[in-house]
Amino acid sequence: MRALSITADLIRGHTDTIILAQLLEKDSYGYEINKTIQERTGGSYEAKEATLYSAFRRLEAAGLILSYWGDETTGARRRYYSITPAGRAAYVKNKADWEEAKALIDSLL
Amino acid sequence: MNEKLRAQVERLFADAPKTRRAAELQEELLSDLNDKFNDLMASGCGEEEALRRTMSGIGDVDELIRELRETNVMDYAEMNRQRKRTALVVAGSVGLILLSVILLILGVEVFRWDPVVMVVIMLTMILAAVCAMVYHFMSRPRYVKADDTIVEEFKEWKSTNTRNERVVKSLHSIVWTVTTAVYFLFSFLVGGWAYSWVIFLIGTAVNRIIQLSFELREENRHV
Repeated sequence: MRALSITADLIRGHTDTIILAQLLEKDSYGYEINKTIQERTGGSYEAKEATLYSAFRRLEAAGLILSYWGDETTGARRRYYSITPAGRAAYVKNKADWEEAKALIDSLL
Repeated sequence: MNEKLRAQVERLFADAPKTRRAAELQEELLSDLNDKFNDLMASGCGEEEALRRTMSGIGDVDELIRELRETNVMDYAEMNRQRKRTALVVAGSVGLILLSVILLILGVEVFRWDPVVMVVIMLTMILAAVCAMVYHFMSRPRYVKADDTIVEEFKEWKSTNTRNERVVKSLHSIVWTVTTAVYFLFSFLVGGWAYSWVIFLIGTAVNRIIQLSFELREENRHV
């Protein structure tokens, strides 16, 4: 279930923005975000938990997201994340950067 | 919760530091992997297959666990900068207080300005100096806990306590210096030796108030 390595690298490089995009829609947790990535890419990309958690820590340290624990009684608790206003602003900027990069590279290839 | 899965995750974290953050990471990972495992089982995988696929998709958590260990306990460069700033504030404040006294003497004896006005000016300068020092000592960053382990909490408590003691001591000596200065000045200028000693009682009261307010702050924090 792995895409070509270039695509995988690109996606991994944009993990932060991908997570922000998911959290824009609703609060979510690690596995749910991973599952959404899998479904949206038609099953061709699946993130590693380590990559996601790294991104979560980074985003939370930068104040772009915040986390809270679920109240599951059975099994381990889920760690939910939600986006902050700063996160929304960062998402908008990152998306604009991506659109610009995409257009530039398209014009060169 | 699949017990084999739990056991495998526990093995992953066997060498992790025993801190709250590591425990939280472990719980989050276990929870996500459990959901993944259940989804795989629901889609028809056998237990062994589901376990294998779940564990193989984790990636390199060792790096994450290593990062948990790197606690930014004290930044020495920052500490030095703080120390220099403290020295500057204290030197400036003490200088201001002494200057105010010099100004008072000059003003009254040399320039023949109104003594009362000069005393007011002097007290205002002392007030500014004391406020600057109190503000500086209060707003200095304390030792920030690296993690919620008992060791870190003790270190934080200890540093706060010594810091508070130092602040209280500094404030005490400031109050006494100012009290004595005002006593002498008031007595010499106005000649009120009969009742200017009252200021020492006031000084004691002020010291007590300072001590009490610090103790109350401590109480409030531990509630």
